[in-house]
Amino acid sequence: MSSASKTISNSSANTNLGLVAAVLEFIRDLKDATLFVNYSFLSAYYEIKANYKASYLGPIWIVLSNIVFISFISLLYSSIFNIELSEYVPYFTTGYLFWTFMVTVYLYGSSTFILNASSLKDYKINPLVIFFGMFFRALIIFAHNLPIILLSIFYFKGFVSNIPMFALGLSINVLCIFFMSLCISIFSCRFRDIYYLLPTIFQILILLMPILWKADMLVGRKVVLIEVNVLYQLFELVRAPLLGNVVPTHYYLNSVILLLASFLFAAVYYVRNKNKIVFWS
Amino acid sequence: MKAEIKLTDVHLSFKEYKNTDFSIRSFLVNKMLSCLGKAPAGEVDDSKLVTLNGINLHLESGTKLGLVGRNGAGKSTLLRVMAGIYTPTSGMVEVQGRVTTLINTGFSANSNLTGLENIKLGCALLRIPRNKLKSSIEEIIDFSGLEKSIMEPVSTYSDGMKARLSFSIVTSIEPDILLMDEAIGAADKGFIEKAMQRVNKLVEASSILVMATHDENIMRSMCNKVAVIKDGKIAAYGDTEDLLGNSQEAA
Repeated sequence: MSSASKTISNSSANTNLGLVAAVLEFIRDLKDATLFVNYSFLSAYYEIKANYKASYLGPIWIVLSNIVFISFISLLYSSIFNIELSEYVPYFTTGYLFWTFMVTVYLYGSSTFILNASSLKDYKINPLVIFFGMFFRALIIFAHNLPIILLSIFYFKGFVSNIPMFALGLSINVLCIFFMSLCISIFSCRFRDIYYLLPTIFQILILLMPILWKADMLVGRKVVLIEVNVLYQLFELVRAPLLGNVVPTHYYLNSVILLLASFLFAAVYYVRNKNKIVFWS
Repeated sequence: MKAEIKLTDVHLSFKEYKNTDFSIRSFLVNKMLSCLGKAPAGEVDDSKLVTLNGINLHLESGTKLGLVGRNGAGKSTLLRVMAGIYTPTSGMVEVQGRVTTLINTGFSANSNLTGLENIKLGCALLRIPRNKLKSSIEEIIDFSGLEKSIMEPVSTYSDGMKARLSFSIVTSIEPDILLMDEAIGAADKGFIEKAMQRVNKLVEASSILVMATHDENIMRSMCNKVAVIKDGKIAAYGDTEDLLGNSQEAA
């Protein structure tokens, strides 16, 4: 990357910036990274293309493997839980595929700066440009899965989705995932154990989250499991409108608070550590 | 535009980054040790982690500086500091002008992708405007001389071919400041001569070239100034012809 303006770098920069200064610098860096959105998108596209290069079906494998997995799980768990297939398939498909998107971002994110160490060391590049590339890759994969979600809902339930509320929920989720995974990316670049720890955490979390099972199966005090689970509430902003359900207002409120908190934390954490990423990677 | 690089008392130490391995275990152990007032476990001698130790340098348009010194002297680190890739531990780096770097394989680094895909990525990174993209890509392919293998993955390229590709991409935009290491040395003689002509043309148009290399011939024909780097310091600085004898001893 190259820049035409005068650049000054010294040690005192960024390490002890206050909240407002950090937020302003974070926004400036985000804007700078969007100038290279073409690069980020191309690198994501080429990466996926290269991954499936030798295969006959290419990225269709993303769709196929999910269809097979969802079909088996749906048949099994709908009979275990005694839920109609027409009810369970759209519910599980939506939850599972959006969960997969989330996990993909966190897992890709945890290795993104480590795997791109040569780019970071060989030319001056805003780390966010690399991060955007990783994020686009996860979004492209999710875009492959989105038709499965929409088809499963349309086939089993008809046109019940509330698209504007889905779009709103998806936006809040995508932003939140972006900021949280940015923090994890940097943290995992510094502490390499995180990369190995994350898959284990997500293996447990998928069982704790109402994805295989339904939230309304919880009775009595167990309801606490979802009432304090902000991650679930955030998740619900995407799933409920798609399935034609109404999201409680306080879910939106809690999710927006989580979004703001993750943005502020990411701003401070990123700005304080952005110059160190290249040394850690 | 006038290009300029000014380094004032630049120090760079990897102590902060290298004195702990990157695991949570060592982080916690070292925190506990520091609470008990003991030195962190596995600490490396500080002096081995200082790569730049008080560099002062002022380069203006038209300078073609060659960096010489033995392996590990700090040449590539100095290039990275000039490029803004590494932030110095202390001191000030001021750079005026559009900087591009050719360090290691750089712009042809993604070996899973084809040569053409790497070119397109490079063009996107250099923000070549859409209306000039097609002609730039053609020009890069033509200059690199890799027409026949441009659709092949870079993993099948030799080091020389990678050097050709990277150099052609980096110099396609006429940077104000070009920072290079010895990667270009992998290319064959014919290409190096072509590259020298291009670099000379760039520098005539008021650019700065900083190049780290062990190859005396490349240095002689490309650089008008030489800095000898030793233990993270500039041990000697002067005209190429005056210094090359000394640098040989140092290297």
